[in-house]
Amino acid sequence: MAAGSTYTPIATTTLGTTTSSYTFSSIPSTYTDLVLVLYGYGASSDGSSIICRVGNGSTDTGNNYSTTRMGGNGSASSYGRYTSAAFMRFAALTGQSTSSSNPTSLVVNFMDYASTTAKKTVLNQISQLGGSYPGTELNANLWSSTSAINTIEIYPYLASFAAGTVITLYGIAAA
Amino acid sequence: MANTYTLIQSITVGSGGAANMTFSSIPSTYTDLKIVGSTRIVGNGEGSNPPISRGEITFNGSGGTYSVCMMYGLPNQSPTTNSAGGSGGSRSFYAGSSVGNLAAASIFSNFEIYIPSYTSSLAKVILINDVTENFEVATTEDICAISWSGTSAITSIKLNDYGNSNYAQYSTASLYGIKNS
Repeated sequence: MAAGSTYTPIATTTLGTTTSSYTFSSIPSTYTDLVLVLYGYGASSDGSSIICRVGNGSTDTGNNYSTTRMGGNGSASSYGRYTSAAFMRFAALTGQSTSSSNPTSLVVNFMDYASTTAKKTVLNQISQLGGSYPGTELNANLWSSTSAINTIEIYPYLASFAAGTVITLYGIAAA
Repeated sequence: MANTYTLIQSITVGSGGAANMTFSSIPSTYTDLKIVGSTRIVGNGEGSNPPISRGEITFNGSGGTYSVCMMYGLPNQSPTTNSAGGSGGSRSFYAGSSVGNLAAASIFSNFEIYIPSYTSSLAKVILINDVTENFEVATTEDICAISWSGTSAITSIKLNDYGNSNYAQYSTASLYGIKNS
């Protein structure tokens, strides 16, 4: 692999204050795939899911998303599916803890995000092992649109990210 | 262009086998770490049927508390979840898997370990994917999370077999640094 040319940071933030949502906008279409990495904990509502909307120009708030998930919390494995939803669920079993001792790690892959012919598949893995809803989870999401993604909004459902949460978006180039 | 995905170190086990693969003196100049590995063990490890053994991971030599949550699938079985925990030096934390010598020749397990914010002053939460496909004789696919309570930067990472077998020749692991600026 040609190191340095395939994992380019597009934007990154370390949240300075409690933040209810964070948006990457004006994402260039020059990469093949995107990878989003989040590390941090919640400021409110222990056990909150982390969700995401994407769009072109602005985030799509319509019911154009679906998620299929599977995960385990150490005592029970589970799966689920959400269709015609208003957002992608990066976590459904695993809830973000509000304790700094129990941070959440999340890695998201947006495949072929700039395509104008394919609907967008988004894979994510998320884990958090403390608080009320520990677990590890692997989800497949779909944005049912052939528009290129140039906006990504991520936020805890009805909650906020704590200050210090690190969110980075990388571009992966095939060549 | 900034060099943001950099090979820090690659280890390949020689003909004598190796009890572990250890990355040491990891610089703090990156944001995240990623390990990609392909492993096989010399003995049976902890299992003969299927001939698959879990792996252990240890950060910074010793210390801290580990929590593990995993979900794995075996052929024709519903996914199973399991958890464990323990203090540093215990054998209660797993990462990846390795096929044993009862598996077909030349079969290796493969895994990927992602460590976000490895220099953070918070606890670390590590994401792991691993898979073993043994020509339909015995397969596993696993997602795993490990939480390590250590609040200092990760400077060394040791990988070894949970069943105390040596890694076989040609087992390999590569450590990459990923930088967000």
